[in-house]
Amino acid sequence: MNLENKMKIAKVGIGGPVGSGKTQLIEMLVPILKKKGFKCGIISNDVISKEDAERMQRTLATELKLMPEDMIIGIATGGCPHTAVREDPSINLAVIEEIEQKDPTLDLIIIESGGDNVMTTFSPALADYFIYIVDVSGGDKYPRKGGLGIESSDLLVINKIDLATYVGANLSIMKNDAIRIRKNKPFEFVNCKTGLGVEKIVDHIIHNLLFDKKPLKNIT
Amino acid sequence: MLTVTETIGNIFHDKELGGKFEQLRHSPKCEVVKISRSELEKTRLRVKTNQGTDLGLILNSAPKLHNGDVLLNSPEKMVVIEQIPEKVISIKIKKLAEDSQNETSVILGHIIGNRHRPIQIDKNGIISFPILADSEVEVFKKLFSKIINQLEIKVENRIFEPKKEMDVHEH
Repeated sequence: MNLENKMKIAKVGIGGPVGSGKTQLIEMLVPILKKKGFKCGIISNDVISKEDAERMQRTLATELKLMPEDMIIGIATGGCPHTAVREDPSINLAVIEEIEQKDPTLDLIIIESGGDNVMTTFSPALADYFIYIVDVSGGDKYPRKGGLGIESSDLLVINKIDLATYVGANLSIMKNDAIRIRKNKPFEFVNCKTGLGVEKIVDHIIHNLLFDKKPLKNIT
Repeated sequence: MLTVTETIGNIFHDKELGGKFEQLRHSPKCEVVKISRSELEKTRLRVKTNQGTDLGLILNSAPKLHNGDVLLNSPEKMVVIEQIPEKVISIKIKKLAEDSQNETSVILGHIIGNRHRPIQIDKNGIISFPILADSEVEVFKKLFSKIINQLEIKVENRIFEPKKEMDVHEH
Protein backbone atom coordinates (compact mmCIF):
# COMPACT_ATOMS: atom_id res chain seq x y z
CA MET A 1 0.00 0.00 0.00
CA ASN A 2 1.22 3.49 -0.78
CA LEU A 3 1.42 5.15 2.63
CA GLU A 4 2.17 8.54 1.12
CA ASN A 5 -1.19 9.26 -0.42
CA LYS A 6 -3.35 8.80 2.63
CA MET A 7 -3.33 12.39 3.77
CA LYS A 8 -6.46 13.72 2.11
CA ILE A 9 -8.76 14.04 5.10
CA ALA A 10 -7.39 15.50 8.36
CA LYS A 11 -6.90 12.86 11.02
CA VAL A 12 -6.78 13.14 14.78
CA GLY A 13 -5.46 10.28 16.91
CA ILE A 14 -6.71 9.84 20.47
CA GLY A 15 -4.67 7.66 22.81
CA GLY A 16 -4.49 7.07 26.53
CA PRO A 17 -4.66 4.44 29.25
CA VAL A 18 -7.58 2.01 29.62
CA GLY A 19 -10.57 3.81 31.15
CA SER A 20 -9.15 7.32 30.74
CA GLY A 21 -12.15 8.41 28.67
CA LYS A 22 -11.09 8.11 25.01
CA THR A 23 -14.46 6.83 23.81
CA GLN A 24 -16.41 9.25 25.97
CA LEU A 25 -14.31 12.15 24.67
CA ILE A 26 -15.19 11.18 21.09
CA GLU A 27 -18.86 10.90 22.07
CA MET A 28 -18.63 14.48 23.35
CA LEU A 29 -16.54 15.87 20.47
CA VAL A 30 -18.65 14.59 17.57
CA PRO A 31 -21.94 16.37 18.49
CA ILE A 32 -20.11 19.70 18.91
CA LEU A 33 -18.22 19.27 15.62
CA LYS A 34 -21.46 18.23 13.90
CA LYS A 35 -23.22 21.34 15.23
CA LYS A 36 -20.46 23.45 13.70
CA GLY A 37 -20.98 21.65 10.38
CA PHE A 38 -18.01 19.24 10.42
CA LYS A 39 -18.55 15.66 9.23
CA CYS A 40 -16.55 12.98 11.00
CA GLY A 41 -15.64 9.34 10.51
CA ILE A 42 -14.42 7.23 13.42
CA ILE A 43 -12.05 4.28 13.70
CA SER A 44 -11.91 2.60 17.08
CA ASN A 45 -9.01 0.25 17.79
CA ASP A 46 -9.17 -2.32 20.54
CA VAL A 47 -7.25 -5.47 21.35
CA ILE A 48 -9.88 -8.18 21.11
CA SER A 49 -13.38 -6.71 21.19
CA LYS A 50 -15.12 -4.03 19.13
CA GLU A 51 -17.11 -2.89 22.14
CA ASP A 52 -16.17 0.79 21.92
CA ALA A 53 -17.02 0.98 18.20
CA GLU A 54 -20.35 -0.76 18.81
CA ARG A 55 -21.09 1.63 21.67
CA MET A 56 -20.44 4.66 19.44
CA GLN A 57 -22.53 3.16 16.65
CA ARG A 58 -25.33 2.98 19.20
CA THR A 59 -24.83 6.43 20.75
CA LEU A 60 -23.66 8.57 17.82
CA ALA A 61 -25.41 6.82 14.91
CA THR A 62 -28.55 5.09 16.17
CA GLU A 63 -29.57 7.34 19.07
CA LEU A 64 -28.25 10.78 18.08
CA LYS A 65 -28.29 10.18 14.30
CA LEU A 66 -25.14 12.27 13.90
CA MET A 67 -23.50 9.99 11.36
CA PRO A 68 -24.14 6.77 9.45
CA GLU A 69 -23.31 3.62 11.35
CA ASP A 70 -20.82 2.53 8.67
CA MET A 71 -18.72 5.63 9.35
CA ILE A 72 -17.81 4.15 12.73
CA ILE A 73 -15.48 1.22 12.20
CA GLY A 74 -14.04 -1.07 14.87
CA ILE A 75 -10.68 -2.77 14.51
CA ALA A 76 -9.70 -5.63 16.81
CA THR A 77 -5.93 -5.36 16.58
CA GLY A 78 -5.19 -8.63 18.33
CA GLY A 79 -1.91 -7.39 19.77
CA CYS A 80 -0.54 -4.59 21.91
CA PRO A 81 -2.79 -1.63 21.10
CA HIS A 82 0.06 0.72 20.17
CA THR A 83 1.34 -1.56 17.41
CA ALA A 84 -1.66 -0.82 15.18
CA VAL A 85 -1.36 2.96 15.49
CA ARG A 86 2.40 3.33 15.60
CA GLU A 87 4.69 0.50 14.43
CA ASP A 88 2.48 -0.89 11.69
CA PRO A 89 -0.55 1.31 11.00
CA SER A 90 -1.34 -0.47 7.72
CA ILE A 91 -4.69 -1.89 8.88
CA ASN A 92 -5.79 1.58 10.01
CA LEU A 93 -4.56 3.12 6.74
CA ALA A 94 -6.58 0.53 4.81
CA VAL A 95 -9.71 1.43 6.77
CA ILE A 96 -9.04 5.14 6.20
CA GLU A 97 -8.89 4.47 2.47
CA GLU A 98 -12.22 2.67 2.73
CA ILE A 99 -13.78 5.59 4.62
CA GLU A 100 -12.35 8.15 2.17
CA GLN A 101 -13.86 6.25 -0.74
CA LYS A 102 -17.24 5.97 0.97
CA ASP A 103 -17.40 9.68 1.78
CA PRO A 104 -14.74 12.01 0.37
CA THR A 105 -16.59 15.01 1.85
CA LEU A 106 -15.61 14.15 5.43
CA ASP A 107 -13.77 16.92 7.27
CA LEU A 108 -12.15 14.73 9.88
CA ILE A 109 -11.37 11.15 10.77
CA ILE A 110 -11.02 10.38 14.48
CA ILE A 111 -8.82 7.39 15.29
CA GLU A 112 -9.11 5.94 18.78
CA SER A 113 -6.24 3.80 20.01
CA GLY A 114 -6.79 0.87 22.30
CA GLY A 115 -6.02 1.63 25.96
CA ASP A 116 -2.27 1.65 26.42
CA ASN A 117 0.58 2.99 28.54
CA VAL A 118 2.16 6.45 28.81
CA MET A 119 4.51 5.79 25.89
CA THR A 120 1.68 5.66 23.35
CA THR A 121 2.18 7.74 20.23
CA PHE A 122 0.64 7.68 16.78
CA SER A 123 2.59 7.13 13.58
CA PRO A 124 2.73 10.46 11.73
CA ALA A 125 1.64 8.47 8.67
CA LEU A 126 -1.64 7.83 10.46
CA ALA A 127 -2.54 10.88 12.59
CA ASP A 128 -1.87 14.54 11.86
CA TYR A 129 -2.77 15.61 15.40
CA PHE A 130 -2.36 13.54 18.54
CA ILE A 131 -4.46 13.94 21.68
CA TYR A 132 -3.33 12.04 24.76
CA ILE A 133 -5.92 11.65 27.52
CA VAL A 134 -5.36 10.67 31.14
CA ASP A 135 -7.67 10.95 34.12
CA VAL A 136 -7.18 12.17 37.66
CA SER A 137 -8.03 8.83 39.26
CA GLY A 138 -4.47 7.65 38.55
CA GLY A 139 -3.28 10.37 40.94
CA ASP A 140 -1.85 13.85 40.45
CA LYS A 141 1.59 12.36 39.69
CA TYR A 142 0.50 11.55 36.12
CA PRO A 143 1.72 14.65 34.22
CA ARG A 144 5.06 14.97 36.02
CA LYS A 145 5.97 11.33 35.40
CA GLY A 146 6.15 12.19 31.71
CA GLY A 147 6.39 9.64 28.91
CA LEU A 148 6.02 10.12 25.17
CA GLY A 149 2.22 10.45 25.22
CA ILE A 150 2.21 13.09 27.96
CA GLU A 151 5.23 14.98 26.65
CA SER A 152 4.99 14.76 22.88
CA SER A 153 1.25 14.77 22.19
CA ASP A 154 -0.12 17.86 20.48
CA LEU A 155 -2.72 18.21 23.22
CA LEU A 156 -2.85 16.64 26.68
CA VAL A 157 -6.34 16.18 28.10
CA ILE A 158 -6.83 15.55 31.81
CA ASN A 159 -10.26 14.00 32.34
CA LYS A 160 -12.62 13.26 35.24
CA ILE A 161 -11.72 16.41 37.16
CA ASP A 162 -14.94 15.96 39.16
CA LEU A 163 -13.29 12.95 40.84
CA ALA A 164 -10.20 14.86 41.98
CA THR A 165 -11.44 15.54 45.51
CA TYR A 166 -12.51 11.91 45.97
CA VAL A 167 -9.12 10.46 45.01
CA GLY A 168 -6.96 13.15 46.61
CA ALA A 169 -5.65 14.49 43.30
CA ASN A 170 -4.54 18.11 43.40
CA LEU A 171 -5.43 19.82 40.11
CA SER A 172 -3.02 22.71 40.80
CA ILE A 173 -0.15 20.24 41.02
CA MET A 174 -1.26 18.61 37.77
CA LYS A 175 -1.52 22.00 36.11
CA ASN A 176 1.94 23.15 37.21
CA ASP A 177 3.54 19.82 36.27
CA ALA A 178 1.84 19.85 32.86
CA ILE A 179 3.12 23.39 32.19
CA ARG A 180 6.65 22.38 33.18
CA ILE A 181 6.86 19.05 31.38
CA ARG A 182 5.06 20.08 28.19
CA LYS A 183 6.81 23.43 27.90
CA ASN A 184 4.70 25.44 25.45
CA LYS A 185 2.38 22.65 24.40
CA PRO A 186 -1.28 22.93 25.41
CA PHE A 187 -3.28 20.88 27.88
CA GLU A 188 -6.88 21.05 29.06
CA PHE A 189 -8.86 19.84 32.06
CA VAL A 190 -12.20 18.26 31.18
CA ASN A 191 -15.08 16.27 32.53
CA CYS A 192 -16.26 14.12 29.66
CA LYS A 193 -19.31 12.96 31.65
CA THR A 194 -20.78 16.48 31.68
CA GLY A 195 -18.94 17.94 28.71
CA LEU A 196 -17.13 20.54 30.81
CA GLY A 197 -14.11 21.79 28.89
CA VAL A 198 -14.77 19.70 25.76
CA GLU A 199 -15.58 22.79 23.67
CA LYS A 200 -11.95 23.84 24.16
CA ILE A 201 -10.75 20.52 22.74
CA VAL A 202 -12.91 21.17 19.68
CA ASP A 203 -11.35 24.64 19.37
CA HIS A 204 -7.86 23.11 19.40
CA ILE A 205 -8.84 20.63 16.68
CA ILE A 206 -10.46 23.29 14.48
CA HIS A 207 -7.55 25.71 14.88
CA ASN A 208 -4.52 23.41 14.80
CA LEU A 209 -5.72 20.57 12.59
CA LEU A 210 -8.47 22.03 10.40
CA PHE A 211 -6.70 25.42 10.20
CA ASP A 212 -9.92 27.31 11.00
CA LYS A 213 -11.34 26.27 7.64
CA LYS A 214 -15.05 26.06 7.08
CA PRO A 215 -16.60 22.59 6.88
CA LEU A 216 -16.08 21.03 3.44
CA LYS A 217 -19.81 20.91 2.66
CA ASN A 218 -19.91 24.71 2.94
CA ILE A 219 -17.19 25.30 0.38
CA THR A 220 -17.83 22.55 -2.17
CA MET B 1 -2.64 31.90 7.76
CA LEU B 2 -0.34 31.14 4.85
CA THR B 3 -0.71 27.64 3.43
CA VAL B 4 2.42 25.72 2.47
CA THR B 5 1.99 22.59 0.34
CA GLU B 6 5.64 21.84 -0.47
CA THR B 7 9.15 22.76 0.58
CA ILE B 8 11.28 24.85 -1.77
CA GLY B 9 14.71 23.41 -0.95
CA ASN B 10 17.17 23.17 1.89
CA ILE B 11 19.71 25.78 2.95
CA PHE B 12 22.31 23.09 3.66
CA HIS B 13 21.96 21.40 0.25
CA ASP B 14 21.13 24.29 -2.08
CA LYS B 15 23.95 26.81 -2.44
CA GLU B 16 21.69 29.62 -3.62
CA LEU B 17 19.22 29.19 -0.75
CA GLY B 18 22.08 28.75 1.73
CA GLY B 19 23.70 31.96 0.50
CA LYS B 20 20.46 33.89 0.72
CA PHE B 21 19.88 32.58 4.24
CA GLU B 22 23.37 33.64 5.34
CA GLN B 23 22.75 37.09 3.90
CA LEU B 24 19.32 37.54 5.49
CA ARG B 25 19.54 35.50 8.69
CA HIS B 26 19.79 38.54 10.98
CA SER B 27 17.31 40.68 9.05
CA PRO B 28 13.55 40.86 9.57
CA LYS B 29 13.11 39.33 6.12
CA CYS B 30 14.28 35.97 7.45
CA GLU B 31 11.94 34.05 9.77
CA VAL B 32 12.53 30.78 11.54
CA VAL B 33 10.08 28.04 12.55
CA LYS B 34 11.29 25.90 15.43
CA ILE B 35 10.05 22.32 15.02
CA SER B 36 10.79 19.20 17.04
CA ARG B 37 12.06 16.03 15.38
CA SER B 38 8.73 14.29 15.87
CA GLU B 39 6.88 17.20 14.28
CA LEU B 40 9.19 17.04 11.25
CA GLU B 41 7.50 13.75 10.39
CA LYS B 42 4.08 15.35 10.04
CA THR B 43 2.46 16.30 6.77
CA ARG B 44 -0.19 18.54 8.32
CA LEU B 45 0.91 21.04 10.92
CA ARG B 46 0.09 24.59 12.05
CA VAL B 47 3.09 26.59 13.22
CA LYS B 48 4.20 30.15 13.94
CA THR B 49 7.54 31.66 12.96
CA ASN B 50 9.71 33.61 15.41
CA GLN B 51 8.09 36.74 14.00
CA GLY B 52 4.56 35.44 14.43
CA THR B 53 3.75 34.51 10.83
CA ASP B 54 1.02 31.88 10.93
CA LEU B 55 1.70 28.91 8.64
CA GLY B 56 -0.46 25.90 7.81
CA LEU B 57 1.58 23.06 6.36
CA ILE B 58 -0.41 20.64 4.22
CA LEU B 59 2.16 18.58 2.38
CA ASN B 60 0.70 16.54 -0.44
CA SER B 61 2.88 13.52 0.04
CA ALA B 62 5.00 12.41 2.96
CA PRO B 63 8.54 13.59 2.37
CA LYS B 64 9.78 14.22 5.89
CA LEU B 65 10.61 17.80 6.72
CA HIS B 66 14.23 18.49 7.55
CA ASN B 67 16.31 20.98 9.48
CA GLY B 68 17.04 23.82 7.05
CA ASP B 69 14.07 23.25 4.74
CA VAL B 70 12.77 26.47 3.18
CA LEU B 71 9.00 26.90 3.47
CA LEU B 72 8.67 30.34 1.87
CA ASN B 73 11.08 32.16 -0.41
CA SER B 74 10.05 35.51 -1.86
CA PRO B 75 11.83 38.85 -2.18
CA GLU B 76 10.02 39.97 0.99
CA LYS B 77 10.32 36.88 3.11
CA MET B 78 12.30 33.71 3.65
CA VAL B 79 10.99 31.13 6.16
CA VAL B 80 13.31 28.32 7.24
CA ILE B 81 12.83 25.31 9.54
CA GLU B 82 15.11 25.11 12.53
CA GLN B 83 14.98 21.75 14.27
CA ILE B 84 14.83 21.89 18.08
CA PRO B 85 17.88 20.31 19.76
CA GLU B 86 17.30 17.30 22.03
CA LYS B 87 19.19 15.07 24.47
CA VAL B 88 21.40 12.59 22.70
CA ILE B 89 23.88 9.90 23.82
CA SER B 90 26.95 9.81 21.54
CA ILE B 91 29.25 6.80 21.58
CA LYS B 92 32.68 6.31 20.11
CA ILE B 93 34.06 2.77 20.08
CA LYS B 94 37.69 2.86 21.20
CA LYS B 95 40.37 1.47 18.90
CA LEU B 96 40.39 -2.31 19.43
CA ALA B 97 41.65 -5.44 17.69
CA GLU B 98 39.41 -6.24 14.70
CA ASP B 99 37.61 -9.18 16.36
CA SER B 100 36.84 -7.21 19.51
CA GLN B 101 35.80 -4.20 17.45
CA ASN B 102 33.25 -6.27 15.51
CA GLU B 103 31.88 -7.92 18.63
CA THR B 104 31.55 -4.61 20.48
CA SER B 105 29.80 -3.03 17.49
CA VAL B 106 27.30 -5.87 17.22
CA ILE B 107 26.53 -5.86 20.96
CA LEU B 108 26.15 -2.08 20.93
CA GLY B 109 23.84 -2.19 17.92
CA HIS B 110 21.82 -4.99 19.51
CA ILE B 111 21.31 -3.03 22.74
CA ILE B 112 20.32 0.20 21.01
CA GLY B 113 18.05 -1.68 18.58
CA ASN B 114 16.39 -3.49 21.46
CA ARG B 115 15.37 -0.10 22.82
CA HIS B 116 13.89 0.86 19.44
CA ARG B 117 15.99 4.02 19.03
CA PRO B 118 16.77 5.68 15.74
CA ILE B 119 20.50 6.19 15.26
CA GLN B 120 22.84 8.61 13.58
CA ILE B 121 26.38 7.67 12.52
CA ASP B 122 28.69 10.56 11.66
CA LYS B 123 31.66 10.49 9.31
CA ASN B 124 33.98 9.64 12.22
CA GLY B 125 31.90 6.60 13.11
CA ILE B 126 30.38 8.16 16.22
CA ILE B 127 27.01 6.59 16.91
CA SER B 128 24.30 8.64 18.57
CA PHE B 129 20.70 8.13 19.59
CA PRO B 130 18.10 10.24 21.41
CA ILE B 131 17.04 9.87 25.03
CA LEU B 132 14.00 11.28 26.75
CA ALA B 133 15.52 12.05 30.13
CA ASP B 134 18.85 12.10 32.02
CA SER B 135 17.70 9.02 33.92
CA GLU B 136 18.16 7.03 30.72
CA VAL B 137 21.92 7.66 30.76
CA GLU B 138 22.28 5.39 33.78
CA VAL B 139 20.00 2.79 32.18
CA PHE B 140 22.12 2.65 29.05
CA LYS B 141 25.38 2.57 31.02
CA LYS B 142 24.05 -0.49 32.83
CA LEU B 143 22.96 -2.10 29.57
CA PHE B 144 26.42 -1.42 28.11
CA SER B 145 28.19 -2.69 31.25
CA LYS B 146 29.93 -5.62 29.50
CA ILE B 147 31.46 -3.37 26.84
CA ILE B 148 31.57 -0.04 28.64
CA ASN B 149 35.37 -0.03 28.91
CA GLN B 150 35.51 -0.08 25.12
CA LEU B 151 33.26 2.95 24.74
CA GLU B 152 33.60 6.70 25.08
CA ILE B 153 30.15 7.99 26.04
CA LYS B 154 28.99 11.60 25.89
CA VAL B 155 25.61 13.20 26.55
CA GLU B 156 24.80 16.19 24.38
CA ASN B 157 21.93 18.52 23.64
CA ARG B 158 21.87 18.93 19.89
CA ILE B 159 19.97 18.48 16.67
CA PHE B 160 19.49 14.79 15.98
CA GLU B 161 19.05 13.74 12.37
CA PRO B 162 18.46 9.97 12.14
CA LYS B 163 20.18 7.87 9.54
CA LYS B 164 17.40 7.34 7.01
CA GLU B 165 17.22 3.56 7.03
CA MET B 166 17.69 3.45 10.83
CA ASP B 167 14.83 5.77 11.72
CA VAL B 168 12.55 3.46 13.65
CA HIS B 169 9.63 4.26 15.91
CA GLU B 170 10.47 4.99 19.54
CA HIS B 171 8.93 4.01 22.84
